[in-house]
Amino acid sequence: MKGLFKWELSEHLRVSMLVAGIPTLLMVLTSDLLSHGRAFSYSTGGSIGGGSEGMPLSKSPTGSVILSTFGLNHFWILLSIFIIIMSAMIFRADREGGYAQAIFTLPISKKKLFGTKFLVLLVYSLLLLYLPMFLFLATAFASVPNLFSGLFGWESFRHLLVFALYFALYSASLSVLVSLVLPNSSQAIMISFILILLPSFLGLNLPPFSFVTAIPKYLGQAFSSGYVLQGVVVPAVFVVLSLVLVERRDVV
Amino acid sequence: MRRFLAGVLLSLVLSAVALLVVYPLKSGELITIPPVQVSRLESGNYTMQSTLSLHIPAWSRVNLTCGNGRGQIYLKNVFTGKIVFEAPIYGSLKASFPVPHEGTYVLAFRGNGSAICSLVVTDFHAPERTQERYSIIGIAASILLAVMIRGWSR
Repeated sequence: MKGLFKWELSEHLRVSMLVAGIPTLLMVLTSDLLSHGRAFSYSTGGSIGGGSEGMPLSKSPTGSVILSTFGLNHFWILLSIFIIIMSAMIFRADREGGYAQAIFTLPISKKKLFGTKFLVLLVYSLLLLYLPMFLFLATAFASVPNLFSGLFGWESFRHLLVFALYFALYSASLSVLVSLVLPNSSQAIMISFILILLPSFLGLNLPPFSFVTAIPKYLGQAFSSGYVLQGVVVPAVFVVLSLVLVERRDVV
Repeated sequence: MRRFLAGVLLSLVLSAVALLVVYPLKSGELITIPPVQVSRLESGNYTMQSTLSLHIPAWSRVNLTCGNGRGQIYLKNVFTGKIVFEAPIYGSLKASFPVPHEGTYVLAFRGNGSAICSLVVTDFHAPERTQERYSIIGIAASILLAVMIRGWSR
């Protein structure tokens, strides 16, 4: 089990996707910040005495720039592409490469095999999501004092992390299901692209991009029933369906 | 597993390179703030003020144009409290000055005064702290990677 997990984790194509993905995603975030990160506020008010001028991060233009940069599509489109290809590699290319036959002869139940592979996919997806995100925050906002304590003490930012998790869970589980249904990895990649990206290009408010459109405005509703349904329940259904498919069918 | 860890380290090295490339690529971007009235009026114990606060994303040059003004105007970093520019205005003012750090800046008056000001922020470069951070990440990751590969070949 542990050996299989380590083996699946260090498969060279997946590692090279990671090496290509993290710098690219970081670059996209920083470039979005520099070309679209605009925020200013004009305030008029009266106060008794001198009036304090300190401003917490959550109420400052810097805070709204951080949120609005993650509300742009570019980062998420690229991330979903990496997740789709990664899951097609983990769940379909193993059959085409032939090593699936070797793996499925191991004395491990199909459920555990599926679980291990899905865990590997989650490790990769979450690394591709959160590592560029935190590298971006740590470098592009390096001169903001107490940045991370400010961010983690801010409810909207914590909800942003939750929405990002929903996005990764939904795209990963949907593309796993597609990779298991279709007989070929290129087909799996194409169909997953269409299912995940087309609704966003058509302007439909469907997951996973409904989580991105929620980012500046509806961050407070991260745990409302609608978003939990789209971000946790639906992915869980996809995973169960994939598990049934794996159990029912022969390896190749 | 070692290959996976080496991959993570290599992606950190390349991330530093990516940041090294992306700031020069984007240095031509600009932020334009339309003219707004900035003022401060003290009467007795009561202060009435209008301020402009904006986010500046990198080391940049700020071109400030004010008209119809009187008083002492300043631009201050809200997070560190450091004043990056301060000047008296009689009538109109045109100034160009660098802002060394990213963050939220507030344009306000000291004492009594008012003016109509607009800002153009151009010429972005990576701030010093940002350069330090990505250099440290890149150097540390490449040293670890080198140690790892050396252990590998033995």
